[in-house]
Amino acid sequence: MDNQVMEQLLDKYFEGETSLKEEHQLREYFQREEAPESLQLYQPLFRHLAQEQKRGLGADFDRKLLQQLEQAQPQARVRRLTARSWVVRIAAALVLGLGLWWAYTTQEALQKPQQAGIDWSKYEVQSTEAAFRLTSTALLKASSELNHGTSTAVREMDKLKKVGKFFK
Amino acid sequence: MPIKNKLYRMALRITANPAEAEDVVQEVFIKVWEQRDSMDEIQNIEAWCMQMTKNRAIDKRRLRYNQAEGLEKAYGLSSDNHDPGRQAELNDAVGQVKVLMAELPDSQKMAMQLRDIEGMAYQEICETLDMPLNQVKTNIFRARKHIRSKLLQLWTIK
Repeated sequence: MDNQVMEQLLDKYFEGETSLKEEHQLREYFQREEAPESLQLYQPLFRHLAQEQKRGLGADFDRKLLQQLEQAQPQARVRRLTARSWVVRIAAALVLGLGLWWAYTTQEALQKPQQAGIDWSKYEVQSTEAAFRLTSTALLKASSELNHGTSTAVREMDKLKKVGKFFK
Repeated sequence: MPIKNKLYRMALRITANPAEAEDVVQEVFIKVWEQRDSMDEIQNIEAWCMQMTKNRAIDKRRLRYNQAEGLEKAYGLSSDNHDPGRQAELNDAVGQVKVLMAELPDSQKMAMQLRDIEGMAYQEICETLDMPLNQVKTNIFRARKHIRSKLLQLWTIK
């Protein structure tokens, strides 16, 4: 590139008026070529900027991050039972047992003679049409529930994708 | 270019310490993971991550300075002791630019980093630094002007 053009571009850069493309051109120019003497003092600046663009995290960063994420998962809380809480539990079980025994004996005393059972035969499906109607209603209900599940899964996948691109 | 390296460079520019910068990026990623359910509410996740990186890096550096200051006071160390690593950098031309950039005020340093290293548009820099456009442009202009004048000085000394 012409020296004069470069000097003009440099002036524009230091005035803060260059575009991203022109700034890229400057870095490329000083990276590739040995600059003429009048421009040599700027070479270290653009070489530094180009070097910094290549700087990145070490190869084991992802592994360390995964370890940290695993550690950050909430652990199940282990609780030790004290002697007092054992007494409370036994007392509660006794009260419950007594209550059930009382309810059973009272029920037995009050129970009337057995009533005739329900005649289920009148609820039975009699025709093919009725059976078809019942089955379609049941299937429709099941499929609407399934659709609900799918849309929830799609929504969750979208969220994960959004987060996932940061972990690449 | 993966965002993790972009965040790392930003953190490194502020802390000037690779281990601390890596910790900052790790913390930011853990935060993103913890908040994955509310990601829909964040309009620009990248800018949000960059802001978090910037704030955490500044906190880390502040903490280190406070601790170092405490140690200096406790042991009577002088702060004008020359760092040999820094001296080596000053001896090489690219290293000199690195030192010059590190000495810039934070707002200028970060604006120049996002423009000249990350290649971001002015509008993106405004969102990331939460700064109006004219302020972003002024910061970049001042940073470049300062580095140019220092380079000129160094060149005439040679």
